[in-house]
Amino acid sequence: MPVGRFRKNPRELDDFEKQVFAAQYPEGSLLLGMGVGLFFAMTAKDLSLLPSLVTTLGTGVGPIIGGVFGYLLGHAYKQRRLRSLRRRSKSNTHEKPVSAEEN
Amino acid sequence: MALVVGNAVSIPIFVLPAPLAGSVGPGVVVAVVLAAVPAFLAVLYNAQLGSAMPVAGGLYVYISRLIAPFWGFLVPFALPIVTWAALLFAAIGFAEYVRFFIEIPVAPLIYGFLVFVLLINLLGIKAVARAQILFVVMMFLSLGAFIVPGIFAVNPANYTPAFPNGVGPLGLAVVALYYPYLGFGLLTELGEEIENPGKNIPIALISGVVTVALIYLLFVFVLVGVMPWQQLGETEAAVAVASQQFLPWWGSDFVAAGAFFAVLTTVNTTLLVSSRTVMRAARDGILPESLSNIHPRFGTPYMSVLLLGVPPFFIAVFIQTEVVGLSVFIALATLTAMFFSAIALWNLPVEFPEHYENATLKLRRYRGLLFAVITGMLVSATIWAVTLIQLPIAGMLLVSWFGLGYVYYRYKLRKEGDDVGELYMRMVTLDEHEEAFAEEQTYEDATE
Repeated sequence: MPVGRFRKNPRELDDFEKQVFAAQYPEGSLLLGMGVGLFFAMTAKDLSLLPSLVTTLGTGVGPIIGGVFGYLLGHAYKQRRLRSLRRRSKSNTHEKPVSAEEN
Repeated sequence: MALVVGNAVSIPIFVLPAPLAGSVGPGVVVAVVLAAVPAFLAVLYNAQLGSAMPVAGGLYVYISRLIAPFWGFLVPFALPIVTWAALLFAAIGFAEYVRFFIEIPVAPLIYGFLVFVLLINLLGIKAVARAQILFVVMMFLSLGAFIVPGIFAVNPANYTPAFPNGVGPLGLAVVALYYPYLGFGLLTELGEEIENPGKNIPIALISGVVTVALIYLLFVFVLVGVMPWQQLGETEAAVAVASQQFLPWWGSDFVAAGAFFAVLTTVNTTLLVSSRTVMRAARDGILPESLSNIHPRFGTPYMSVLLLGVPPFFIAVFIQTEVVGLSVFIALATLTAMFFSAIALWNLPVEFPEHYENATLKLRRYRGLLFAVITGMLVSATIWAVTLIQLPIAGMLLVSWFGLGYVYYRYKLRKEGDDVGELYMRMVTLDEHEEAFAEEQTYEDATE
């Protein structure tokens, strides 16, 4: 979720970037984090695991904290996936000439 | 302008304030003022974005092109559930006021109303607009009939104590009362279909929000002033009943009839706006292509109208009274969109500098714009937190729906296979004629 600067000009993205950016990993995991944060906050409130004031505030803040963590994890995964795709493509291009010579 | 004001004013004035007064007390008037703050910010964003890039399916296009395609996709994906809630809300309000005249069971009224709305939207925008103007005129006449004599009939004792149950219920009332302002999104969603959009959109939006906020404030002030808050909370068709305190029987009937038309104005435009956005997303390929099908005879996006208009028939089996819960849910979804609109607006000068430079209405980036954007983001985040604390189920439902949206989004990507890059590019770039708008400032050449 780039603020102030778009990730890159979409027209300048390579095929790997398009594929990985399209999956929207940070955005999806932000939502997952929000859901998990809200679920835990609501469960803690229902089971009276913590003082009432803490659980009440937790219901408001939990999803936000969960969302931030989720986003960071998703962002890290996105970078990793991009590197992995590039590495795989590189090794494929290295392998091809070798196999051609062998043939 | 009639479409916008009619859509914005109608439902909350006649349906929401009474149950909210029952929980908050006379201090619900304060909630009206507070709800105007995010409403004004949202209008400011819509006015600037709409002025720079008037496109069909406004928010979907702005958010997907200026932030990220998935956040943009959530606009059309969340629209059906929001529209279903809005239609149910309107149907319940409609039933409430019809029952002021004649005692009929609620269920047939709700279903009859839903059938009517579906048919009118399938017939097309011109038919809707023609009926809309009549409804809006009737509604404003009845508003005047309630407010003007009502101001002289208020009892100052009804305003105290302002918050008999503490300030706790105030937060949720502010969220609920944000719902009426949803109608201001209409102009930006219709975008290209409006004459001279770069100029007319900001003028209509800004003058509209000031007018509506003022009417809304006066209306609730009179309502709370002429009838004790405890009674308001327990009364059906409370506005009409309250008007009996100071109007003859025919005057109260006229006020009730105004409410009847007011509810109609909202739903007329609810499907109209939503179907445009769904259609645009379908054109990009992220929603099924069939949703962008136009009816050969009526010229309406009938598939998306059916998607938006039919499910409420089934949901109405379970929900026939919960107006406050429905309005909080609708408002929360809209405020989420406002949060993203703020970011989209911040990104606009960088991503589409020509559109930004040539816009009729624009704030300087590191002056007014920065302040407006940060304020809007903070306000919408605060309202989310307040809602989660007071009505967590609304937040949970919305987050779950968004999560379902992500699953669907990934499913569509998978279905695209090797063409995923093309789908992505369609979702992050403007159409050719939309790109050209930055220089031309008109769509006339493109439509000829």
